[in-house]
Amino acid sequence: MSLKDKLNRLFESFGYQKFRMSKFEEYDLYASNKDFLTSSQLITFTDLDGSLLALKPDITLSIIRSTNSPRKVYYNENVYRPKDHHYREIPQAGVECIGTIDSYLEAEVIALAAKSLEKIDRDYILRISDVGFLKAYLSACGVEETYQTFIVDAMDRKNADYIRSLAAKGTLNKSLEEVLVRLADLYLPLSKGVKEVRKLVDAPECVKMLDHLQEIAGVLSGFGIQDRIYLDFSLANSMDYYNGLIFQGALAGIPFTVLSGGRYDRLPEKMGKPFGAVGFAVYMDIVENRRHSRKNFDGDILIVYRSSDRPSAVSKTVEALRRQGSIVSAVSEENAADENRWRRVMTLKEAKEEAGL
Amino acid sequence: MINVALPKGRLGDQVYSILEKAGYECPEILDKKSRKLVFENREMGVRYFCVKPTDVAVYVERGAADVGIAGKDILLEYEPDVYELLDLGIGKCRMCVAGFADFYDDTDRPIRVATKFPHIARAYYEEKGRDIDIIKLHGSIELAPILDLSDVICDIVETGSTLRENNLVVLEEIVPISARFIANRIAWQFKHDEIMAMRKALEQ
Repeated sequence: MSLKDKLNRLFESFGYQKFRMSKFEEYDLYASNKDFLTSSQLITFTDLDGSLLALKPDITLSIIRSTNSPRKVYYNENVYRPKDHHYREIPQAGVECIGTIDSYLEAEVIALAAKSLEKIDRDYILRISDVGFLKAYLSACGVEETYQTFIVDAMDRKNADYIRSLAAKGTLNKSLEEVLVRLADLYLPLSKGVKEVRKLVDAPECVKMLDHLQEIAGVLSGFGIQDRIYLDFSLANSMDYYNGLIFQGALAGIPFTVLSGGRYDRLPEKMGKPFGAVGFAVYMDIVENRRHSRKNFDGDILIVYRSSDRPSAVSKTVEALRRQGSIVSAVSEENAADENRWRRVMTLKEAKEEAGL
Repeated sequence: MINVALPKGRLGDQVYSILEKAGYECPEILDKKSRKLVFENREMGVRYFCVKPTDVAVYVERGAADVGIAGKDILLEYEPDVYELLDLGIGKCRMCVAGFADFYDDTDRPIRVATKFPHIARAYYEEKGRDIDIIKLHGSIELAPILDLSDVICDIVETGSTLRENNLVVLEEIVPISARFIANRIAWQFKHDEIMAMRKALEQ
């Protein structure tokens, strides 16, 4: 089963319905929601009636726009975005849970994210944070808005020395400095992490977020997920899209983030929809590029036949070897190339012997 | 096994000697006649690569190395998506704008800036709202104002002796620079204990 099928089956087992869409949408949808796109550059073209269309750079926008009542959907589609200075077709899979979002639904989506990663590789890590935590804490401590942005940015790079330099200049007091430095380094399994942060932070709004995270941890353990979920409050750098919980997934051996998601109520709100939403996307291109790169041969046996060999003898040999379970190809001497791409290369005579004919 | 990208040259040697004292030794690396690029100490679970200083961030960002040592100048110029775990406090210098002492900034035309760091230079002048004409060079930057190729240069200044010998002076200081211990974001999660232990060793 392909990875795509495995993920689809997982999403369906939780009752998520497949969302299908056309390759393009009206340009307007994207133009009026630029804040929710990773890039404002789109591949556009004109329809026969003169209206402007765009190849879809994102799927979530289309899903929210076409949704008017609570639903759970998944998708497995291509999006078209600039990457490394060129437009690319990028495969993406993901889920969106839309409605009045409560702790159960949030945890269900996080569980699906964890289980998706597990389907690809058991050695996965999913980090969770609340995107508003740092700013709520800094506001409670009376830190100016401009510095808040710098600090969140430094936390995102785990640059504790920047925090220390602010404290040295007198912008932050000593106790705030210590807490931020501890938070930048803090990386613990979710429940343990929440317990640890409680000792450091007691701002009421932050405590509410910690209570919420603890509740999520409880629901996740109901899904049999505990060990591989980590708390990391340095994840906070996508405030414009997400509000509330956010999470990011990684797999051993792939040096890039392969999954990201969270709570995004602002998008439905902007479209005038009376509900919230939580979801995630798996970057299938990064996963696929890495997973299949260890194939060493095109196949097992390449038969190079001569013009004097009878074609029917070739077919008989190919079929016999194939039935024995080998991957077999046959080419004439003139067409033989890239012989080192095959595990073994043989003449028809040798192949016959191999096949026991 | 933790993979460490070390910058070739004095900074790399300095960092290696700190790591050596902390127990991450790999004596082979000190053999200057050796052409080897990879040095391994299985017992300690550490493997060093010696790469061009500007390439360290690339190795780390793409996960070929778990951690590395890179100057803040490289991090500001290329903005790699990595964790910046520690300011090592060595390899200290300043990113500066330099030129002739009697340089007159004619704001009527774009200022011509020769530099190895076009991104840093552009960001600096953009913040000031000054139009600039960037001239990207790969070395001997000091030559540019002498030959009137540029009005000023934007470069790293350590002692200032190269500037002095070419009759140039520091006109503006952009940002202080020092060496940083950086880590791949994903390796930080999967090899957390090893990476944090190495940071601790470097903190001493």
